[in-house]
Amino acid sequence: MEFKELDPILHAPLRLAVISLLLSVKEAEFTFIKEKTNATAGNLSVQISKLKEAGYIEVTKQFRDNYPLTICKITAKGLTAFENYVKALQSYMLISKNQ
Amino acid sequence: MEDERFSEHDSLELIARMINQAKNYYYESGLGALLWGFTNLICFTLAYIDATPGGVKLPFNPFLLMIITFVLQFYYDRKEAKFKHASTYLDEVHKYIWITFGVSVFILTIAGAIANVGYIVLPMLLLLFGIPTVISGCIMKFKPFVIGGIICWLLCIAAFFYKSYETYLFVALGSVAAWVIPGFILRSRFKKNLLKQQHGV
Repeated sequence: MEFKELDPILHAPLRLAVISLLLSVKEAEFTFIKEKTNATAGNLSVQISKLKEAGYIEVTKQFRDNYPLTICKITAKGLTAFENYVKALQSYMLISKNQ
Repeated sequence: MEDERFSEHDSLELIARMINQAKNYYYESGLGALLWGFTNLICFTLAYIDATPGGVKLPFNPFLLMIITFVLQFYYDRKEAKFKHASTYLDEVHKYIWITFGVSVFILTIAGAIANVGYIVLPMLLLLFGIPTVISGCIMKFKPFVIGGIICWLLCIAAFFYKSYETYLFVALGSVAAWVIPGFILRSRFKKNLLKQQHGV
């Protein structure tokens, strides 16, 4: 069986957690993602930027009551990347099962 | 959560955990249910008093009170948006179900009043009350809404046989069953969760 390469953008715990969260909601605020992933604000910002650069998520910055508000949303490209990542994971698991 | 290499099993476990976390997220303070439940209770009780032969005649149409509720709802929606940190697909479904319900009620009451069809509008209103309430209850896995919606349907059957001013009371009762009681239960759950989040108790 052929090895499918795991997407390096998604194969990192925090980035995968962010994508998995965004997959299940229409959109989420930065505070929501921070709370659910238990990540630090700094680390989360860096990982969100990487996902955004890859085109996997859309980030909108707004203001609410004079406070900055960051809203994240998964893109169609992010969704496809996630599906491919899961398929690749499945192929890895099948191979290790057959060995 | 550190950025380190991790196994396929870890990946799948993390995906499942995060999807579960997001899936279980919903923000429901019960305010909307209480607001509309009490509005209907007051409006339909006043309409009953007004329609009772020999009863007190009101100097205004009691249903005009709903305008105040619309303003209050707009205010609370804006206020609550600050506390809602994610929007789920179920929220969207919910929103469209209730918008459709609102439009249906509007068409039924306005067209019914213009065509002067009389009290027959009231059991139909109860039938409509039951639909979004039961759907919401099923989506949220919240039994009081399901029970409240079913009570509305039962009251609808009974109201079809009355076809008199007394059916206003059936609608008032339906509002209590469908929204006031579930609203109080939702509110108490919401406050408990808030306390848990704030104090970890």
